[in-house]
Amino acid sequence: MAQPAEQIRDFLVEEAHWEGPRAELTDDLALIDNQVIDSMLLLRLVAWLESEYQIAIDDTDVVPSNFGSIERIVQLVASKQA
Amino acid sequence: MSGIAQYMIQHLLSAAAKDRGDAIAVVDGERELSYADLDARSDALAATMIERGVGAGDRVGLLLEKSLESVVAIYATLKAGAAYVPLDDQAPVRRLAYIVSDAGIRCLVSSQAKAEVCQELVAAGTPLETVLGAACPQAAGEPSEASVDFLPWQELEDSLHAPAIPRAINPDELAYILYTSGSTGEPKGVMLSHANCLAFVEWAAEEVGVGPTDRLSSHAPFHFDLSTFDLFAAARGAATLVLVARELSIFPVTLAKFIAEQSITVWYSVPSVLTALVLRGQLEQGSLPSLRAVIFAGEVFPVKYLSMLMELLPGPRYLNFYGPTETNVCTWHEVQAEDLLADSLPIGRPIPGVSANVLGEDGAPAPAGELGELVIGGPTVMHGYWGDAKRTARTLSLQDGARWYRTGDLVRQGEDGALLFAGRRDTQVKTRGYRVELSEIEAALNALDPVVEAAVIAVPDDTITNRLLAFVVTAEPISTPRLLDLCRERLPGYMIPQEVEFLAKLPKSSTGKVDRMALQTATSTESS
Repeated sequence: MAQPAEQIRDFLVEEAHWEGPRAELTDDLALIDNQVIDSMLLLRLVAWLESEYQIAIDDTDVVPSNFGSIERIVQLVASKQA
Repeated sequence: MSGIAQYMIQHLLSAAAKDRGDAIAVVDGERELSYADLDARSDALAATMIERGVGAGDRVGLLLEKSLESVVAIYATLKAGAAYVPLDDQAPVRRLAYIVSDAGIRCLVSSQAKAEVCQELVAAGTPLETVLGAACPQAAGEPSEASVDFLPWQELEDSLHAPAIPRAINPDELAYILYTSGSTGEPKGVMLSHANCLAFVEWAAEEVGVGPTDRLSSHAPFHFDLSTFDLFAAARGAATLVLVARELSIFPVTLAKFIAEQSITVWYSVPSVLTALVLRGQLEQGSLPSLRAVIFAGEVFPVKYLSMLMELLPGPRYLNFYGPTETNVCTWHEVQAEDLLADSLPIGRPIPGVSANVLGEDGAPAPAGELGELVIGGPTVMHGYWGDAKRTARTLSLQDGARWYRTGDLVRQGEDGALLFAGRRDTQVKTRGYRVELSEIEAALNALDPVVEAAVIAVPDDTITNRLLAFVVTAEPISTPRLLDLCRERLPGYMIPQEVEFLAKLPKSSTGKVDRMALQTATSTESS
């Protein structure tokens, strides 16, 4: 299976139109503070994660601690797949 | 409570400090500031400003994340006799530099986190002379920007003993300039006086009954006019202002938790935030028991989501405030059960002291039920656009000793006298409560090298009012991300189109103008 972190990075580059070099979009970059994710992108990201990984993400999972970085999102996906 | 106040905004603070000095004025996460401390700290900062040459009639820029310090800076500016110009700390440097130069800002209050942006503003040739709250980021040994003084917060706090400076009372002095999207491609500064602000705040605080036990949300950024209710109605009632961090609006569940934990009693925001809260905030029947008033403004609240919200939270009053930045809030409507059966919510009736006329194409009053432009007169109406007498003359006029502003909003007056919003005369749109001139986005796109021509349309969306869609003709292929990167250098995030479509040419009308209707029609057929 392809690396979720890479796939999420692809999504952010393509959908969030990440402006910096791809290398700067590291697994631990603060996505909220750096304005990579705003409220509209978050909705699309959640929908994409659900369909891409065949998981269900509850509203209660949509909190800063789960979406603060690519790393955190990967952990959220893994916990939902378990 | 209408009429012209014979005092200044900062007197609301000094009165609260005198009567209830120990009461908490502002909550910023774990940090708090009492009214006595807010009064003392803003006195001290005002003294520093004056020492640095700030005086009556000056403009002081605020480039700060929402914080205790930003509230101190607002009051300090007013106490120094100047008008504050709140800058969007998320906006690109280029846009900030335009505003700093346009408003002739010589003194900027900022923070260490923004020190590099301040430096870039200095380098951009703006008239800045003093930057308060940030140390100069330049490494030692390098030649410094000799003419510009950087003073970090730590040094500012050293002069905390400075006493208040007595000043003459003139409520017609400017209190703040709010920059808003301009159709010519650059933002324009709306000038509002102490009297403008107080005419609204006095009424609103009284109507909502803001008092010492209240905890008001401060959700809107300070460059957004909703913030003036939060700041100054709180001070008038010696209530507590609870600053809401930006990231909370992105996460509805976290926001709901925050409102509960902070025991917010009066909430004020744009409707799209409340829509997100009701759709994804996991609210339960009777959640948020402290909440006693929910106020919204800035865009149309779809009735279906308002109904859901009122069903879940039946306790509070629900108030719809209406008014462009140029008039402050000028009409209002308290939501009634029967409103929820209608298609749209009225913007209601003028607040006391304000007059609302609905004028037809011929300039004569439109009969009830007929479409017309809303024209607002009274003490809440702005003094004009900063440095732009021409633009001011186009929309503002003096009649019978009152200032009248042509809003550009189309309305109808119902049989019962209540006003109903029906759209715009021009291409100004709302998205997530932000006011956006489509032509400003087009101007930014057209200024980009690869772009031959561009048109932007708004696609209605019931959760955020409008999505922005750009149609672009380019001389050579360019990717959407690259194009939007270039836009980000010129426009704030809320003005960046969500989608871009590349065309070989734009549809034109017979007069050679871009045919927006054709673009709009093509888009709606595609999506249906």
